[in-house]
Amino acid sequence: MKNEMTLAFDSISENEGFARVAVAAFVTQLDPTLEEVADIRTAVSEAVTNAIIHGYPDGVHTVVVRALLNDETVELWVTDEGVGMEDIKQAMEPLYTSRPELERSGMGFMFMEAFMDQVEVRSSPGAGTTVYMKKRICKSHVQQGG
Amino acid sequence: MRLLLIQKKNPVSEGLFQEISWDSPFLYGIIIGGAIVEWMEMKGSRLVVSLPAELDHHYTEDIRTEIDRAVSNQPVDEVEFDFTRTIFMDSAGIGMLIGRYKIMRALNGRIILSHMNRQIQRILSLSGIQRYIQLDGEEAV
Repeated sequence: MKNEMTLAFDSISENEGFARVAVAAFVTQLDPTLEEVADIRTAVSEAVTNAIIHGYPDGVHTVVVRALLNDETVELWVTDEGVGMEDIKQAMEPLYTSRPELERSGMGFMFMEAFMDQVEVRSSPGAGTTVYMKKRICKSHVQQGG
Repeated sequence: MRLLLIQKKNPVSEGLFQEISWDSPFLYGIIIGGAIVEWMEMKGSRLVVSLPAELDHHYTEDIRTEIDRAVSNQPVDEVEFDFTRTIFMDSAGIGMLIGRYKIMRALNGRIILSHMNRQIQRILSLSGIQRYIQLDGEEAV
């Protein structure tokens, strides 16, 4: 089965919840476990929050989330056309934050990497950022509560 | 009676959280479906914070502001974060907890987390925050 959707929304914090709920609902077509859905929700929340806080530090602009379901995999692209970043490796280091005044834990990418099978970041200064994430949804579920 | 008083005094205008005047000096409300539910309350020297269902960056900003104001306005030995209602938390929640941990440590106090579900425990475990913060499974000490 193949199915694709794209969401475009304003970079305001209210939409963090909207984005993860929308993606989670879309992904249910693959019949994921509750834990897999929770993983995806968290990863989406982290990527979208980064786009809102770091991608667009000033003003309201558009964040785009694209989701592609393909048999047993879900692929996600979270894109902003904001400030971008010079050093992707540094941004992905656990506990690193470019904005300590916001009390960010610096664990966003750590969670994305923990909960998804693959995370890749494409970014350059002034040209925005795209976070690509991929996760395999296991078909051979054991019934919950067994 | 409580709801009427609150609504008269402070019609819902902005934000999810609202400071409300009541006989307890620190009682805060969250609006859920038109009803106001307490979310922060002093119990002795413990500030009990009842966290929202979704603890993400959108909510942590307001929560940390209110907690910091509460602990600077009165003696607080412990801040308890009650996760009873919480079904989602991401790294923004972890950042908020670490920040409050640092503040309470500076005040010679501590923070306590209670009533987390499995998903919240997973996030906490992954963050490594348990090395610093007391987790109470069921009953806060």
